[in-house]
Amino acid sequence: MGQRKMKKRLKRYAAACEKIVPVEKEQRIQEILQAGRQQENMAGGSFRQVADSAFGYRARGTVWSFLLEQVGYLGRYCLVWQAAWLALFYYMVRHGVAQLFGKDNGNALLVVVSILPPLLILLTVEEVTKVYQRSMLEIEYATKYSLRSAVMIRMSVLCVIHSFILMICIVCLHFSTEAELGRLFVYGFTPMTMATALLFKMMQHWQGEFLLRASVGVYVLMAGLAFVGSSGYVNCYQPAYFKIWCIVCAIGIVSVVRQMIRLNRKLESYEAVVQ
Amino acid sequence: MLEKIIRKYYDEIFRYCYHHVGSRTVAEDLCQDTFVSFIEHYEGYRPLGKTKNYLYTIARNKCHDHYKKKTPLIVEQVPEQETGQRMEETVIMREMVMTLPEDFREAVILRYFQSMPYQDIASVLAISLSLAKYRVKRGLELLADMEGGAHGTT
Repeated sequence: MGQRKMKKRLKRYAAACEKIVPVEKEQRIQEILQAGRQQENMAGGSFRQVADSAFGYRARGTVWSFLLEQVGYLGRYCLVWQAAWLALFYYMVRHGVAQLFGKDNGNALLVVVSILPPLLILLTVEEVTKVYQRSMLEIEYATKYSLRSAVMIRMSVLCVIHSFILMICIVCLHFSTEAELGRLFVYGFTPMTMATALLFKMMQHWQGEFLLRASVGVYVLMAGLAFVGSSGYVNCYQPAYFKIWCIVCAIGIVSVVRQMIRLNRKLESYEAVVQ
Repeated sequence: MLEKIIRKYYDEIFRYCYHHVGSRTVAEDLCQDTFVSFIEHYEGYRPLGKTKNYLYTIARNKCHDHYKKKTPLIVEQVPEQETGQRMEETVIMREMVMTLPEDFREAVILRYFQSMPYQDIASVLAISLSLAKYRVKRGLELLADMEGGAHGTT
């Protein structure tokens, strides 16, 4: 017998099996719910509380506790990578960025400051893609805070952490090399804002594994572009064009806010579908 | 919400268990165990994939446990309103699927009986997409061979 015929037979059998319905469905569902209620009592709260603890926050907690627990939600490896990133940065500052690249100090500083921000976001991109699963809406919906608020809060927490780390690095660089603080801020934050805006944009279209791979690709590319642009091969990311990069940085910040609002709207529409 | 999830997936999981055990009563027991287990482990559950696939994975483990306890070949129930040749064909089909090696049987059940996409099959079985496709294809080949062999001997 051919495989095609076998497929038809299997489908026919499956169609016949569709007629088999559970006889004690209602009774069984009630028993399952009863088990759920027992689980509630064992956990010392309502099922909603049990469910919420799965997402790292409590339904009856305050907004502040919710925020704090979102920070706790970040994977340990994520913190380890960020620590490694800081160690790399410390090594670069300690051994002199100019020596590392064998160029004049100003240019080498730009190379370091512009390459590292996209790589910093790269370290935590997996955390973002993990939380952003459309198929998880049905469970997230059961909790006090929706998927939308969870995603937006986690993204904001990551943004704040990244900005904080980058600011520390920039201030350290400023004191160790006596480079102009304003310039360091602009050249550090421009690739970061652009990378973040791109991540939000990608999140609106893709998710899961594909989003993760695309983000990794984009950030590596962005770090590469920043390197090429600032290392003298292409003379565009240079101190001479400081004013232009100030405008680009401002555009980047506006883009981040804009994409964040759009992502928020998109998540809102998913919630409406689930409801 | 929990009730919504249970109601949404109950029939599907029940049917999946039924394909494994061939008994409506046992399938209902396994289906109930699946949801109870889902509730019990809900606290430690991290949302990394589809809820449906998670439920299927639990149901699969429950069916495995059931296999360990007793022989899976129980043809207690056949679809209602099926008579004569049709009923016989249904029973034969089921027996054939159940004699498949475990890996292939699982893939065939998920693909043809549960109409699951390959990506989800891979997720439930914790294997790669290409391996999921291979198992379904090979399972189908084995079934076709079995049927050919049966016709050849009669």
